[in-house]
Amino acid sequence: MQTILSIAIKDLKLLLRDRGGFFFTFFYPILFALFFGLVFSPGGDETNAIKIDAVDLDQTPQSKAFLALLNSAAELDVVLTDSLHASRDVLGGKKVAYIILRKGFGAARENPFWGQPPQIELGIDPSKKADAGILTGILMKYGVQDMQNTFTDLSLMEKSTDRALRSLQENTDLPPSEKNVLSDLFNALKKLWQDSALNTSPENQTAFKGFEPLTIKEKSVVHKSGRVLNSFSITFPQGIVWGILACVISFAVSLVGERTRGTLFRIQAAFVKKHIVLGGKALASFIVSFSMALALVLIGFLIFGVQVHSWLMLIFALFMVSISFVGVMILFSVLGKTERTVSGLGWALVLPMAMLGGGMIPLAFMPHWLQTLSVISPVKWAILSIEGSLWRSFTWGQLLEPVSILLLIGLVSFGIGLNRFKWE
Amino acid sequence: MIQFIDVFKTYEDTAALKGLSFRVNRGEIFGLLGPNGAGKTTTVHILAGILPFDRGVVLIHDKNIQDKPDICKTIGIAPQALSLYENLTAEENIAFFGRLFGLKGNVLKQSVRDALDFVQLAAWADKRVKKFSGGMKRRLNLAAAIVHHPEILILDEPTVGVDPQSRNAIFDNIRRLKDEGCTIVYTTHYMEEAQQLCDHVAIIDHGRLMACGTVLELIARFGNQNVLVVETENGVKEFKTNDPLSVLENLKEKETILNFRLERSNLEQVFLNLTGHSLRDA
Repeated sequence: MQTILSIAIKDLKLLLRDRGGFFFTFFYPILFALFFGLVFSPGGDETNAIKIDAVDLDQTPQSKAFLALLNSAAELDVVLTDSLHASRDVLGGKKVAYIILRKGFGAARENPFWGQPPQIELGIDPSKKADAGILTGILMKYGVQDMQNTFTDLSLMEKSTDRALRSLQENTDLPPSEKNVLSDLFNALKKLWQDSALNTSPENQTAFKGFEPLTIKEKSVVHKSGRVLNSFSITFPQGIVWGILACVISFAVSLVGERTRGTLFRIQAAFVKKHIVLGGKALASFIVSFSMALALVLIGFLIFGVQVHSWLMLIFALFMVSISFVGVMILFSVLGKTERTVSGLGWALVLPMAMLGGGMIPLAFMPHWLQTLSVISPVKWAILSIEGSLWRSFTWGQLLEPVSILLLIGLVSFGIGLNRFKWE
Repeated sequence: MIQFIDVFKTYEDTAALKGLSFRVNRGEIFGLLGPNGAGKTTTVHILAGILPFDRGVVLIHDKNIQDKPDICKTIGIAPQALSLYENLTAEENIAFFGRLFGLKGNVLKQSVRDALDFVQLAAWADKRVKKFSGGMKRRLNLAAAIVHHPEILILDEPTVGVDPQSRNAIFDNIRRLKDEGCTIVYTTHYMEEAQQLCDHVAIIDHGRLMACGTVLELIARFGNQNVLVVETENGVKEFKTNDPLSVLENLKEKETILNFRLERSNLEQVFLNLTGHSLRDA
């Protein structure tokens, strides 16, 4: 044990005295968490609204009313322009999309019971297809809201129903039975509008306004304490994992460095067994990973309002994450014979591992098959177990799954590393 | 006492040692010489107990190192590469290697102090190694090898890349260690160093012992004859002889001798005679 401690203390001293290694292990993850935390945090003048151009070729009160509705929408940042500029903005990447309200939009809006519905042309940047789906949803939402507003104008509705009845009578394509059903419906609607117009109480007005296909009540699933989840709570786990990954590379390279410098030979000549050498390295790596992770959480908690669901659970999660990546470090150290090879291969493995595991962008934004593939990345389980003890309010049972997987990855990696380790 | 008896070692398909045998007496400086690829490093690593061998026997103080590998803990080794941590101080480096040999507490502190004193680096104890000159690093490399007071010390090219002052300091250290009873196995490419320091010398090549003995014995057996160069009024003349005085006496009677010098055979000539003049790139 004395030898393991000696090796660990020596490595800690060396790390503390190596400015580059110290920076990437301790300060880089903090910078990472702060940078992305600030980027994703709401507030300031910056909004997350989707930027679009709008072109009104219809120029009717209905088209203007619809654009006014979009303009007031928090989800959208709408600029009125002409077709040429709209197309140029999207092609140039300045705007996600444009919409064009063509001639006939207002007329179609005035005739909800007959003919084609109002049409919108949506021009989308092909590189932002995910936004297209979101945008279609938003436009449908405001389309329905616009229709609701139309329904509250009873005189307009009566006129629309009259027009629909006339169109029905003039129509020769529909079978008589169907015409009769529609005629009964429109007459009933006309009577409804007339009766409603006589009674203008707010309750009756509300009854028409209540023409909503779906009512969505939004609620964030957050910490039991009820504290609001901030962006740092999401970026700090990622920062912690980046710090641990830097630590993995740093210690893996240092182990190879011992070989190339000849100090490993000297250790071998002192009859130190290889599991003792790797144990010493592992202990130093664990101490650095764990203390860095804990320091980062404390900074996040004290300064940036990062939530902690359970300190005990968090310490356990950080302990297991650090153990796991110590194993990965030992595995990385046997990947090559020189520091350059191990560093290069290490980063080449760490980057996809982080990308797959949600260390760069959240897993939710990835395609389904990539999300499935992410189970092979220890980064995913590390982030999940840290988040679980921070704001996901995991139970011990829920935490057990990711930490067990991490432990398994760590043990297997350590075993392979120990088996493949060579003195020379 | 160290004994190599008919030792064989093969790396995959390359035979590094082919029945190597030699003996090192207790308390002497033993030079292990050979061209690149001769098997010196393999020999040294086997002796240090860190490299298994295929066949043969290696005895240290009459104990077989394969049966009692712990005996190798009485060995210290200063590798050719400067095996030190640049970002640790001299004291931290020596203390670290001392701890690996089980030293601790006051014994460790005293041993570290002694080792640094021995190589005259006590004044630099708290300075980081990266600030040291090449010669200082070499001396510290030696200190790291002796911190645990080994009975046998292996020095692998300990003077590579150092200035004459540091070389002399290292020689002084080696002689003092010998005086204190330490057995030293010394590998080098510098023949004059071996000639100056070693009590016995072994020349190995292609994994075999080519010759072993004192420097004088080797010169007598494998060296060239001495060359007497005489300058007379008739010009310069050379005589290969082992009796230069008789040659001079005879010549004096015939010609007037203006000047003369005796070129004696040396270890380098012995080395080249035994191992050849062809280049060794492996």
